[in-house]
Amino acid sequence: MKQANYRLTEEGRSYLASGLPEMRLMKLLEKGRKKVEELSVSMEGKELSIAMQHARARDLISIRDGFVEMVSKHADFPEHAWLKKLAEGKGIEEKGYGILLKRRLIEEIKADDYEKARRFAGREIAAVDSSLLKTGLWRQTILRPYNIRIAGKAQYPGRPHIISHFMERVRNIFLDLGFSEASGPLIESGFWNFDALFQPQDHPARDMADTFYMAMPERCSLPGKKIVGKVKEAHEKGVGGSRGWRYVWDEEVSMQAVLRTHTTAVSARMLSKVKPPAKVFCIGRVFRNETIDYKHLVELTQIEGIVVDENAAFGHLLGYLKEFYRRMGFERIRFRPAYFPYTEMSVEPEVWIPERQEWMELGGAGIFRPEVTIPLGVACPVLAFGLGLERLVMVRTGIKDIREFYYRNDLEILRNAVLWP
Amino acid sequence: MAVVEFDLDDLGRLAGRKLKKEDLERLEMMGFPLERLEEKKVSYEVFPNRPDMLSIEGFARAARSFLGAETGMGNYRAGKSGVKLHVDKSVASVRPYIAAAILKGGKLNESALEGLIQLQEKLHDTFGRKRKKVAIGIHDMSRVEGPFSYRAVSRDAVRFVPLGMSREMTPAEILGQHQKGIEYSHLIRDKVPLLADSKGRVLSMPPVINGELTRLTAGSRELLIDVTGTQLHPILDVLNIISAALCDRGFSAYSLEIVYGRDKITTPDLSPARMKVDIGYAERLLGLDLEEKDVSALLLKMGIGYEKGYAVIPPYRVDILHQIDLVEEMAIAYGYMNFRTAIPPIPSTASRQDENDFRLAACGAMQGLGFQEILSMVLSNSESFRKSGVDVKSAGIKNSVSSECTIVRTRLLPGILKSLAQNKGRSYPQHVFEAGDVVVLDSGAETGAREIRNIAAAIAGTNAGYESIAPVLKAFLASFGIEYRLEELKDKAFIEGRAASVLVNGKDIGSIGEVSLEVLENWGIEMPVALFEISLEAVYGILKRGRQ
Repeated sequence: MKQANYRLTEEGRSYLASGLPEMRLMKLLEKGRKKVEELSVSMEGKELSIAMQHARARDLISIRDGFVEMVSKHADFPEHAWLKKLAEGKGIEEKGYGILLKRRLIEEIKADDYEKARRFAGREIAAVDSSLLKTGLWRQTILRPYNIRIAGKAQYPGRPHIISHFMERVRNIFLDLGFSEASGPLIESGFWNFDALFQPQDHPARDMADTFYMAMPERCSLPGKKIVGKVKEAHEKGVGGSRGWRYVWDEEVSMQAVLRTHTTAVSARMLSKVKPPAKVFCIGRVFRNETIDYKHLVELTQIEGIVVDENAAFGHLLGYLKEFYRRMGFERIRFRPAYFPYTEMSVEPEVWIPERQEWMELGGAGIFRPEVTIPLGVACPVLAFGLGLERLVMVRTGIKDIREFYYRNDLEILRNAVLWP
Repeated sequence: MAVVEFDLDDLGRLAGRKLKKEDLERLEMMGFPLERLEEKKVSYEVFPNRPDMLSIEGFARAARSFLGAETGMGNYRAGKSGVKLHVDKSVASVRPYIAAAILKGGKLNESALEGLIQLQEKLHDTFGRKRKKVAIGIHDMSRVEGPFSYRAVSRDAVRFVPLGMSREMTPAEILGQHQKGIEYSHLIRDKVPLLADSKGRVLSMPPVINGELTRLTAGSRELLIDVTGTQLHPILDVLNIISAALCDRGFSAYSLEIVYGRDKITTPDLSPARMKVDIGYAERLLGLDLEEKDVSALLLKMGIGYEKGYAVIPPYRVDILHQIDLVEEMAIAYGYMNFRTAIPPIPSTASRQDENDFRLAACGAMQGLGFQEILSMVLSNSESFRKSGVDVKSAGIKNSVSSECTIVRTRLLPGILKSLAQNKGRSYPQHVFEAGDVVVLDSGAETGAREIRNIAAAIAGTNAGYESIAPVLKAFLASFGIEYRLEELKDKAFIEGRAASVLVNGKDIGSIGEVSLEVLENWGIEMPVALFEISLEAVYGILKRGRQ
């Protein structure tokens, strides 16, 4: 049998539902002749032209002076009846196939699709085979209801690491605040990591961040003589009215290669280059020579920034800190006096953690001392901050053990981390 | 960082009022985090710039003015004792500097003695760099008499009874047998410095130990303090801090004349220092309008005086180097929480680092391919590289406390394998990637090394193989329009015949392959793994050149 090897095209199905275009045209002309423009209000352009073409070919209408007029009233349209029959899975007279194929109202079904679909016909099925849709035989199947409460097999989409996600959010906050992004080397000279920041070579301050010293490369080269000379002077006898640290500064010590203990080294480098006003930030890995446990890592991510401006004042520093933490979702912030050898005022911002009912310290900030800025060629105030990322992320994500970052990469945690808000 | 513990009753007595919990918490806003509060004890953290706060007397003094019990600075002075201390030139190459003070007329009770010993220990540990830079001896002076002498002698030149022993020992014996001697023997090179009295009786062998003869007790009424060190200023600072603390206990300070050959200094010098205050400078930095009387009130609250444009700085405040330090004192007195905060109207155009944007795009491409990002440590060890079949020619660390962190990674591959090994219990297949910096040695670079940003991706699971990772590399590079060629590669990390170099315009940018079974076994990974690692920096470079 031939009938079931054809099925309606999309156009065929549409004509079956709303009538052939020429049928609809004749209907519109029943009450008298109409202008083409009038007709195009009722029928879409492409359909109207199909309708006129077929109606004229069969001498059903005439067109004169821009008017379309019905000539023959009682026409029959076998195509519509054929479409109906085919849709019901019945056969039609032989010539009908040719006419419908030519008008692209039907298309041939591949024999194997038909074969395949027939196997499902009359049965209750789970999966929907594509052959059923190609042949229309889905009408003869029953789709089994599913347990719609089951989510099914776990899906693991490709996702960013928790830290990367938050780094990007932090990065966007500072870009939005008009800061420019900077970066610097992971292996750094003692000069940029300590000396340029007025950390004396023999002082507890230099021990404060337990430092990794490099065996290879062991020594770095220093910047130009002018900066080195000024830094030496700042340490030994002070600059800009300072009395300095009053000891003999050793160039050799400043050449020691270390793993940077803070991104403030990047700020020091930037200070030697910027022209005020300037706002610069950097997010990067820093290193602490510590024993790893649930509270301590040897590698951490620091958020660093400086604001270099003639009119910069302490309240602005606090303003930036407040704004940053507000944007990270921490509404309450307080500021405690602190000590860093390179800033004065020095401040430790703390945010209120409602879940824990406690204040949490997240980093340090301050205004760079003149002994830091003058040797690097900056005369105006420089607001500076260096904030930790991990503890902040731990609060946001509920992660309790800092080793989940960098150290463990537990896929269970990374795959299921909730990154928002 | 130093944490000091104080007896609450004693602290209250010295501070002039009983300290309530709120008072103790308010002191945090002076810059000293409250570590612990118990019924009778309180502990604070003291930052290294304020060694004067390591003493209960110093802490009480600051609390007294900060809490408003009595603002202003104490009046400290040292009378002349007329006693001399001769410094022999033999100490020049051993431990060149000494300063001393005599304290009389006070009374040490048990808690004061305890406090004094804590102060000595804390000063040794922090400011004194574990006695290397500064060492302190506190003596009962009643058993010895001046003039004193400070000289270096050979290790068996004298015998004396060291503190805590009942027999005489030579310096050599002390350094070899006495607990403190052993602990600090590394600070003595050849000769030992000795402080002795006019009759040759040994008071101390700095920086190691005192003599038993001058042992300090709660009954001691006349004290001699010696401070020795490698530099002059730090020992003077320490002597001032201890002298001021004892003055607060009712002692009076008397100076000694320290005779360095032809030079003489008189210690301690407890007269205050003066520093000019530019009120405009303070106003600009603090964003406040300040009158002279405001400056004076703020400084007084911090225990610093003010007279006609000058700050009057007490002798124990060793942290005031520049007037910026005075501005900070004013800010703390004003209260950090009382400042009006604002985002200043500073015109700027933000700029992003393209390299970081590109990293983000690369991560996005890998995530789109269904890979989970991981982040590993930049530090690694040779063992991890050896296990991974990767040669180590990396930057190395000198002083790591952890055997896990002895080198800086040159490849991402070992970190990826370590992560896979740690995730054996997690469901497979595992698709992971990392985009991060590795460090290569570069003698031409300023720091002797240079970062390169790489990207590595791995599939672990039953179906992981060359045929599953190769299309990933293709799709990844195709998303940046990069055409590449694969060429056979022999590499210990990969199975022979299943590894390739990735070449772009003839340049090797990385490798791809099935990880060698020996490497998997080394890591204890029980699933096949296929991965690639390429230089993201090289890819970025190609794109950038293409754009120009």
